[in-house]
Order: sequence, then structure tokens, then C-alpha cells
Amino acid sequence: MDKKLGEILPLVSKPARYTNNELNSIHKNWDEIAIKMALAFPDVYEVGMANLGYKILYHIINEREDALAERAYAPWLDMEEKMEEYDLPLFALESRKSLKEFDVVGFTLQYELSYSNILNMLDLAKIPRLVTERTEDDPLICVGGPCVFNMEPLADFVDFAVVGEAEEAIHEVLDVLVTAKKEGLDKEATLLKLMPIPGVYIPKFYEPVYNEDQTLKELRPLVEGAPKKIIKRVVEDLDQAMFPDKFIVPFMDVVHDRVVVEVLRGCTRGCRFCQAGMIYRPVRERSPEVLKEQIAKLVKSSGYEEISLTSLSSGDYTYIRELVMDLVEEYKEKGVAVSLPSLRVDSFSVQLASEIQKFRKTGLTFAPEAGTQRLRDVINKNVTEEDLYETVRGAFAAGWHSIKLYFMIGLPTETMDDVAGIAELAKKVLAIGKEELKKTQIKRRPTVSVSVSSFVPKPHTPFQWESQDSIELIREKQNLLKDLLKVPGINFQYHDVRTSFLEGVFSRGDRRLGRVLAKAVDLGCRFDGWTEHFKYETWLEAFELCGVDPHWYANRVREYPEVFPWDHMDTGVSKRFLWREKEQAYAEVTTPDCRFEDCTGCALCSGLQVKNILKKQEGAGDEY
Amino acid sequence: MNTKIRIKFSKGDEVRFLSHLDLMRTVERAVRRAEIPIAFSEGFHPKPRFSFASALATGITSDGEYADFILEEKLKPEQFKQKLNEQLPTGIRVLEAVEVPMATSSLMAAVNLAKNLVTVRNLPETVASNVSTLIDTFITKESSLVQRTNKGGEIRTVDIRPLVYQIVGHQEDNTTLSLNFSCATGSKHNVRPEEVVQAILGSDGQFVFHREGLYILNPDRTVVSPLEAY
Repeated sequence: MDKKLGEILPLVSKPARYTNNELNSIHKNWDEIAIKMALAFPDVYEVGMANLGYKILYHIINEREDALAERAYAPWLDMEEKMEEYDLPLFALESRKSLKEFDVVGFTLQYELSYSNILNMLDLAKIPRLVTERTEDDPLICVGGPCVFNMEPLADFVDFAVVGEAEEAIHEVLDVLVTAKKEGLDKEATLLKLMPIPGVYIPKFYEPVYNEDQTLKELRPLVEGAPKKIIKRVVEDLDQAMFPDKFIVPFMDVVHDRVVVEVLRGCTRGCRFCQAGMIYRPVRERSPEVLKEQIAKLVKSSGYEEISLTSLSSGDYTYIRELVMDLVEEYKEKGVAVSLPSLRVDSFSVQLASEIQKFRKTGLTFAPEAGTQRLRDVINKNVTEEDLYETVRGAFAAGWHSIKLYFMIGLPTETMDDVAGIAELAKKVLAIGKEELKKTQIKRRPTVSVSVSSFVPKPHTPFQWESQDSIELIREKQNLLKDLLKVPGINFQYHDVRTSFLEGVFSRGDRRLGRVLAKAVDLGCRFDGWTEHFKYETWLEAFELCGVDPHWYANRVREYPEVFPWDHMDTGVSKRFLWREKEQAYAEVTTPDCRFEDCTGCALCSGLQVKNILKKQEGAGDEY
Repeated sequence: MNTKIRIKFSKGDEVRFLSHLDLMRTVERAVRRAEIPIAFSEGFHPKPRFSFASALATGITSDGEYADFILEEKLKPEQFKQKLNEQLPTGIRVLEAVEVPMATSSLMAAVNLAKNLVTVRNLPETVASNVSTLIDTFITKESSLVQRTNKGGEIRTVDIRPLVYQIVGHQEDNTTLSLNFSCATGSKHNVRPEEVVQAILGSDGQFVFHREGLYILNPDRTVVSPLEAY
């Protein structure tokens, strides 16, 4: 194994992807450990190493004496070729053992376009793809992550899933696996023991029944005791949640290579297109003291030069300003910088950014998401035109000369006027830039980057009933923007609509897509998220060969009563609330944030026995 | 008062696939973890002040790399070595550390010679058994031209013969041989070990590169270690 690898590695690009001695990686004695779990990330190393949930799990599992976790990634195509040539199965980095030798292989489902890599990784590990084809000699295959909230397209390949936040659930799962192994239980018996754990979903214990019109009639439980609803797991209090004090420090340059702490989890702003905002409720903040302690330990154990305060919306963290200022002050002598992944559209955010980027004003990014007020009301993005203008005026005045704006096209009810509104907004921002920069000493022209993605309706959101715009219509909208944004100083970027289409098919897909996925992988599809490897024609061929119409999934308007393939996944947010939000969208009525105003009736807090946790000071008005 | 510490370090098999940038990043982070009082550059984006003698390509191990560190506070070289070694990952070791005057010329400017050991496997038997003849042929050549393509796609021809100083060959078995040689390295003249091996053997095999060390070749042809030259 090591000899083969030694011969292969000099021949492939970025060989450090496949080596294993990074600082803080954990190498346990294989023979002394009861349960061995491979954490498989269905993308390349440098993408996988950026994922926070994956890092947390790695350390949580390895803290146990009876379990170990090792990492595995999708090999890049040159490596895959060499592995096949040298008959080298897909291995985990730490022990270099084949994935087949593990008790469990867990895949994280971060985005739909990584599904082909999952099947390909099973192939490379010589593990049969289908649950029904695997034997007692094969590992159990499990999944977690955001796409688990509709994982039906993968149901035939997966033994069990953990739905929601895994910090606590992983221990319950491992406890069962350790006992089951000790008692010599077979897979079937082990899965039956896993079944009662809240949040665990075992696809093969259910069978989909379809109506004549091809829609789902029901997902029928096949085993006594199989829960009708799988309720997502929620960590009640983030201050109590396990967080590692060491991260693996990669040798090679990876995405987001820095200290990452999670200041809060969940978001209740209620943007109607946003799946994360629905599935990760409620909002739970970590206290500043806990965060500072975590940061101090992580900086010390990693030597990183940057600290990132991450979450769905870090600007909403109650103590964000104090935290940022304290950290900048404390770490500037050590040459460690502070960063925020995203900024809200308001002047407060510009002040925050000024604290962080005192000297080097690299660029600021805002996400108005839609070009007109009407459409922003539809999607419940509570940002007004004045907010945006005031914010960018502040940014230019403070010395930034490069602003990036994120938008989506293809949103429900969108007209060509809304699309044109994006161009209007961008031009106005550029004009403000020129005006403000003239007043300063900065002898630079302002630049505005406009990045436009295509909207994909997602399960568990108010737009789950919507039709996704056709490829032709999106192209028309992109072309309109291309014409309107041919302006010096504005740089326009947009995404390949065909990948959005495939994402749309799988995000609201059902079990019948499993065959299509397998066929596509047989035909050579993988790394679909990488433009240079995305094979659209091949995908269409796979759909054709399987007799499945992708448009039925992506471009069909659904009715209220339709049973969805993800209805058994209970996020805590009621379907009735989502429908009401959809109706409010069409009425162009916004819904406030329940952190700051009244309860919006999403039913989560009462259903899951949880609540928003904001770290307000005692007596500082924490009743609202 | 800033001081300058010069170290000799090794890059072992465990980290052979690190690129030069990976190695720089790894050392920078180890310095921060070790809480070494490193000095920072001025400007909008302060960077810790340390520099390597030469870039070691991905896939190559070495027993003699060098780096200089500028410190804000005095630290005994022995302490520096110990602190950094505690934080360096397996495979990277500080072998020696000395304090050198601030005015010492930079490693990058001074180092101009590399001693290499290349093992070549899977060679045709005719090549492996003929190693001494092949070396002699190379040595007696007046010139040995190689072509290099730069990033812009331009092709440049370089004569490497005068840049290779000593060659000793040794046959290991029927298809394997090793070559020891010194060659120019650095900003002025630079030879890649694979260019030398290809020029001598004229054949493709499976190469394993190792750098035995970096040196300073003085105008009077004496060779000294960067740890002694200040």
C-alpha cells in the first residue's frame, strides 16, 4: 500500500491531498478500537477541510476511547486514474486502510452536485453501491448534513441517516454500534437498535407508494416501530456543545484555512428562499466568554493567522461589535487578523468592517438578493433601497473602492423589470461610489462586481411548491443583464444555469432518481460541482435511459396537498407555516424576525421544546 | 534590537510532498505556536520576517535546508531550536541554530550550490550497468543544452554542463542506480536535478530526489556551510 502510494504520488497533481501527517490529525491504534468510522467528504481535500461540522465530528468521535474517526476525500481525476491502474482502493488518510475495512462510512451531504462523487467513492473503495447488494463484510453507510433533509434520491445507497445537528446524536449512534459489535449483531439487528434514536432515519424500513400522476402517496413504514416522522436533532445550548480545542492544520492551501468559531447557530430572518434559515432554527448564540476561550485555544494549537467568526449571519450576534473589537485588540500584536464571512446590508456592518480592515480595505460584499423592492418583499429580504445606498455610501466614504453585490434570478413572481432592477441598483451603487471617492484622497475608480446566481427551489422552504425557471428563461434573463451591465466599472458574473437545473432536480427529488444517479456515474459523471467536469449531455442521457423526466422535478408547480418525499423529515417548522409564507410572498407582505418581534408561528419552539437563545446581559431588556 | 537566527533543517519523507509554499506556511504557523518573538514587516499587511535559502520542489526530501529568522527580542539559538522543534510537525526538524549578525547577507543571495542524491529505478539494464561510462561521456562534453519553458510559454536554452560540478555514480542493482552530484542553485544560475539526471542517462526511469545539503561556493572554489559563512 505505502509502496504503491509512494510510486503514484510523484505522478499526480497536489499530492499533499493524499498524505496524512498534518498537525493535530489523530492516529489511533487500529486494533485496540471497537468502532472505526471513516468520515468521507465527497469532494477534494481542500474543499472538505473547510467544513466546520466535519471538523467537529472528527474530534468528537476521536475523543472516545472505543471509537476512531479517519478522513477520506474524493480523489481528483488524475489520482483516480492512477488508483485504478495500481489497483489501489480508496483509503482513509490516517491509517491508509481501505474504506471497506471500516465499520461505518459516513458521507456528509453538503450539496446535491456532490452525489455522483459518493457513488464513485463507493466504487473506488470496492463497496457495493446498493444497500441490498452489500454484505456483512461491508461497512454500514450513513449520511448527515443539510441535504439529509431530502435524501430520498440517495435512499437506496444509504443504511442510515442522522437528521439535524450531530454533536449529541453521534454518541448515541456510536454507543449502539459498540454494543452491537460486542454482541455480534448482524446489520439488520444493528439497524433495528439504531431506529429508536431520535433523528435516525433508516431508508430501507420505508417504501414509497406513488399515485397514478406519479406524485408520492405515502412513505409507508415496513417495520414495526419505524417512526412516521424523523424529528431533527437540535443542540439546545451551544455553550454546552462540544467544540474541539484543536483543528487539523493542513499543509496545503485549503478553502477557509483559518481558526473558525461558530458565534451562533440558526437564523430567523425568514428569507423565503433560504433552506438554511428554515432547517437550522432556532437561533442559539454562544456567549462571548466561551467564544474567546475557544479562540485562544485554537490560535495556540494551530498557529493560524486568521480568526473567522462564522454563522449564517454573524452581524446579528448580540455582542458582535464588542467581540470584534476585543479580538482585534488582543490579536493584532500576534499578527492574527479577524474576519466575518458575511455582512448585512446596513451601516452597522460597515462600521464593523472598518474595525477589521483598518488598513487594507480589500473589498466588501453585500447580498440584496433581488433588484426591486417588490421582489425583495416577496422573498422577505428585509432590505430597502435606502439601506443599500446608505450602506455603500458609508463604505466608499470609509475608503473601500470595490463592492460586490450578490443577486438571484429566477425567483418566484420575477418579471423582466425585476431583473432589470438589478442593473439599475448596480449602476446607482457605482454612481454613489464615484461621488464619494471624489470627496476622499483615494485616487481610484470605484468598481462594482455583480454576481448573479439562479434560484433553486429547496425543500422545507416556502418556495418548495414553486417551479424552477426553465434553462431558456434563465438564459434570457442572464442575457438581459449582460446587455444592461456593459458599463465600465461594473463586472458581471453569473452561474452556469445547467448545474442549477441538475441541483433543482435532485434537491426536490425522490427515490426514483437513485437509478439515474447510478447510471450517470456509470457513464462517467463526477465532480458535477466543478464546471470543467460537469457533463450536462451525459446527465440528460442518464435521465433518458432511465425513462425519468428531470423537468417533472424541477419545473413543475406543486399544489398544497401534495405529499413530498421529504415530508417525513421534521424540521420543526410546520408545512402550514411554509404555505402561509408562500401566500404572503405572493401578497408581497413581509414577515418580521421573531428574535426581535412577535412569534411568527412557525411552530418550531413548541414542537421541539426549544427556544431562541440570545446572550443579552441581565436586566438589559431580555424580555421581548 | 532585532537579532537574526539562522537554522539548518531537514525535510523528511513524511512531508516530502509539501510544496515550497506549504513548507513556508507550516513554518510560519509553527513559529506562532512556539510563541517565538518574531519581527513583523511594516505596511498594511504585516508578515513575519523569515526567509528560506531556496525553494525545495514538491516531492524532494533534504538533510540540509536553511532559513533566517529576524527576532524582536533576543533568544538563545539553542532555545530557539528547542521551541520550534516542539511545534514542528513530524518530518521537519531544526538540526542546528546559530545567531548571525544582522548584516549577514541573505541566504538567498549567498547559497549557490546544492549537493544531490538521486536514486533512479526501473532503468534498462544497459543503462544501469553503464553508469560510469555515461558519466564520463557527460563530463567530457563541452556543453549540455536543456530547454526550459517559462510561464509565458517562451522556450529558453540553457547550457547546464558548466553548472554541474562533481558526479559520482553507483549501480545498486540491475535496474537501479544512484547519482551523487553538486550543481548550481539559486537566483544567478540554477539547475534542476532532473535536468542533470536526464542529460547523463538520456532515459526515463523512476526518480527519487534527495538534497543532501545547500552550500556556498566561494570565488576561490572553497565550499562552506551557510552556518559558517558570516
